[in-house]
Amino acid sequence: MKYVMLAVDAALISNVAISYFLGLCPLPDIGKDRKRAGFSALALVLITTISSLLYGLVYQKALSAKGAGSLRALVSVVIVLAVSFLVSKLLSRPAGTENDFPAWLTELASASAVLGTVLAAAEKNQDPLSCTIYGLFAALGYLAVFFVLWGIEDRMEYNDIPKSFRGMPILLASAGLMAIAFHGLEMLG
Amino acid sequence: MKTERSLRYAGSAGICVVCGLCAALGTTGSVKTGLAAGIIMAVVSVLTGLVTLAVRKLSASPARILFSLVIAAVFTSIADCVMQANFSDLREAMGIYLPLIAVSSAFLCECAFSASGNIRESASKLFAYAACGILALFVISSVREIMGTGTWFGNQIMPEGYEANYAFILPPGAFLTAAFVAAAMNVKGRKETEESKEGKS
Repeated sequence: MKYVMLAVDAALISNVAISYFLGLCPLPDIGKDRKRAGFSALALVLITTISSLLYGLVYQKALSAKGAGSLRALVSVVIVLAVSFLVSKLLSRPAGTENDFPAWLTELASASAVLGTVLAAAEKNQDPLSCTIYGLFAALGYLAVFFVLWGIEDRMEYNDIPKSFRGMPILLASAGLMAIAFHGLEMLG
Repeated sequence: MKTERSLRYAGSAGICVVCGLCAALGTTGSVKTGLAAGIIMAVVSVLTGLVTLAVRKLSASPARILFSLVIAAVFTSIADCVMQANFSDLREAMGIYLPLIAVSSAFLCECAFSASGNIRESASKLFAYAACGILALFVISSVREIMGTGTWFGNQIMPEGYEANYAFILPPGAFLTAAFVAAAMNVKGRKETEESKEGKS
């Protein structure tokens, strides 16, 4: 039951995009190619889950235990970069991004949603299994919000929006309305 | 000249809000944390930019952003150490958004470098982004703290009858405030573009 509540919390109640504002700066450009978008999503989930487990272990066994918490930025970035390299290398052939590998790696490794989730997972949870479950469901929750925002952006393309609100402002306003809806889910917690 | 300069600054603030969105929204519940995040982001961005510029020939884009990310993470860790030693309350309040400044700074550097091939111009753009980042976070955090709690830097400034609107402190208020700030930047940027076009014709 503890892990079910943790999964619901990570995916819905404390959604990384809506509650932590992560992964929206800038919204990753996963393109219109469905195959590539699917593999990017899979890679994002794998990177977040594996990095959460590894950083969770390092944070609890070394950083937190030795009082070196201020190195969290450097350690988390190095872990995320290493895992991103391995995962994107593994998936680049089936995803068909072999020729575009450096750009794809950059896209995945620099997503702030990954780094933020990894940091939040280690600080909110006490054991590696909880960190991994948190990382997995936070990534799934992020993808759900991301695809909804992507859909909203597509649908609004031909709407009559005031000039000043076109682009990022209307997307932020949409995210604000989604945040109100997600705020209601806090009652589940 | 004046128009060109103000256009550059209006655009810079918008870029800072977008690139540093996590920090812009996560730390702006109070002016103290917002201002601290802005200053750290500016310092880390400038230092990262200088190091990246020094070895620019070695690291071409898109590998450059990964290089900037590692350098920014080093400077953010140093900032984290300084915060832990001197401003531990502020560090606690900033939570995970302090290490995340590394990502925002790397994006800011990449924006500055990809906009121009000229080193001097890239450096001047980076300084503009850094200055506007502080200003943008200060404005957003001031609006959120004043509207959300009626205080500014922790001092009550709204009249006694004012009913605090806590939505501004919560995520919906953060998104809506950032949306209006970005829209204001759009209006200013567009006006300046029109003025500059009229001036040229």
